[in-house]
Amino acid sequence: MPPQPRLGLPNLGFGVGLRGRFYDTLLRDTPPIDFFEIISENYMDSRGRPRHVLNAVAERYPIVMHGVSLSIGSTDPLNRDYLRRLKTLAREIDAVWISDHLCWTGVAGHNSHDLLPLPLTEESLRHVIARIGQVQDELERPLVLENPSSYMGFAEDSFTEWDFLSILAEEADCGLLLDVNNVFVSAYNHGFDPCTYLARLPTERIVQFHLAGHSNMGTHIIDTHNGPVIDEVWALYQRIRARTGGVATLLEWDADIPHLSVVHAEVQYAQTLENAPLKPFTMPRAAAKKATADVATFGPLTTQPEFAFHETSH
Amino acid sequence: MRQATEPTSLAQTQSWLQQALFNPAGDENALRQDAEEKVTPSATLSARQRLAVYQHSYWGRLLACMGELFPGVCHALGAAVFEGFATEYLTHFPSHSYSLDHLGTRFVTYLQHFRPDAQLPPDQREGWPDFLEDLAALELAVSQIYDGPGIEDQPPPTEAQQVAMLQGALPFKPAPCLRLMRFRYPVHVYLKAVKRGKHPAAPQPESTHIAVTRCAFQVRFFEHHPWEHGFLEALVSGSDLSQALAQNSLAPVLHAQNPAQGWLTQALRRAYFFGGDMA
Ligand SMILES: [Fe+2]
Repeated sequence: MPPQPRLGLPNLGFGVGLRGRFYDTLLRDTPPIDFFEIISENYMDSRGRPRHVLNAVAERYPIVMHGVSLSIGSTDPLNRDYLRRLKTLAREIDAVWISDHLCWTGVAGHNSHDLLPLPLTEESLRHVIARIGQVQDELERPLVLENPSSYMGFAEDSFTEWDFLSILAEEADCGLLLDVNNVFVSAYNHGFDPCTYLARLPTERIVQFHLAGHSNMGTHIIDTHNGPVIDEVWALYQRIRARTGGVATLLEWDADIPHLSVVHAEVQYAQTLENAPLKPFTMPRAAAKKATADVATFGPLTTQPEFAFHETSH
Repeated sequence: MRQATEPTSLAQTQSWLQQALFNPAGDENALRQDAEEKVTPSATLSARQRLAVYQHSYWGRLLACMGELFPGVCHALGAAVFEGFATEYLTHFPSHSYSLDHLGTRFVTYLQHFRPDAQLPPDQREGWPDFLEDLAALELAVSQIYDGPGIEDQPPPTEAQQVAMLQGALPFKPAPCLRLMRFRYPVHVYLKAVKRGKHPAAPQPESTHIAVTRCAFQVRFFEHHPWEHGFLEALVSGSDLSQALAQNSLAPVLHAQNPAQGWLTQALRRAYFFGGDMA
């Protein structure tokens, strides 16, 4: 039987990622934002100001939890202590759902704090499906998984990312957090058609959208979450949103973060697109010139601020 | 050599990629060959260059985080030298935690063990590493206190409880956010200046005693006289008031010179002690 739209979870409207930059504003005011998303790891163990602010925010707004360290694809055993803490936080703030990424973050007990790509193989697929089952049993709720941006593929890949995600979501019976910017970033980096990606996804399993800005290096794009959403991403968002009938939409802004009102206005733009004519979409191609820089100096020393976010304003 | 498309186990692939991230300066030929075997090129980047994106991203993120955790040490060393220290630290102590909050936990240990004069007797060592160690210890305490347990939701001791504490009938309960720290340099003055955006010069050595604690979710520093500090250390380590007074010859002066509860009122205002029962 096909699942209910959004796995029966609510359409929360248009939300913003809770960041330290917004704490003072949110302790003072209650701007009309529909919901907030937190980076789970920044609050799981907090007994200081971050948790104090979160409690105050959770009294006034729905909260969804978004993790970066579940490491669902790792061949290490699942961290049961981490899962228990995640579950406790979800209960305490009445989180509407819990999401993380289709990736792995480390092995042999290490954490790279990066969303590392999985080889898209049958072995990975079986491995991740089994682990989602264990996580859902522990959390006693569906897990929602996001497509990360990726910068490399593996020679042994035997699935496209959209097929991998679709099979995984169906077989593990989990939700999807579709990051439309990440689809665009990966399409640029790997040279696939983002429209095909979107067309193949099981839309009824999409529980949430992410939107964000990125940094185009010419030869590739880095998912830096440091500015407004580009027009091509809005165009893709319009197309997939129309097929879902409405899904919670969240704007991630993690570097050079402006005032909350600016971030709020950016996500409100998503709302205005609901009944607007479709924006034209053409996929730009990565700059044809091969990068010649030595690998030792190649690539931006960028922080992927979704998780470099760290409270140090004491 | 294996064919490029022969599948490796997922565990092998993950272990290889993690090694490549942690040791970007390893055997470049082997790294390039492995990348060409395991990673597909894009239209614009070679397999090795695509791997380099992850290597740079890993180091960039963690070094930026270290800089946020230790802005004082970063200022003292300059960004480039700090990055060198932080790189060596992370190579020896990579993260094992699900949270970036714990990334700097062993940085002070690293600085102590890897200082160039670590083998020399203490009186022959240089001052500069002492300054860095003290500053790093203070910065680590600040970040731990900022997000650790505090007493914001605890009722302050009532007047009757305060009298009972001074009479030895009730114990002094140190706040979980209180750290009594002794330094060889006035690193708190230096750190405050850095956080205000100033460019302080490295200070001269000066025996420094401070309390680091948290009031209304803000981390605060309070300077102490040595005898005042010793007296508070005794109380915090479980001595009762008469023992703490006996152990610190000048403390009775402090106790006597202040009106009955003067010093205690101040200690409570600074969130050194609390009255309720912590969960
Ligand atoms: Fe995202």
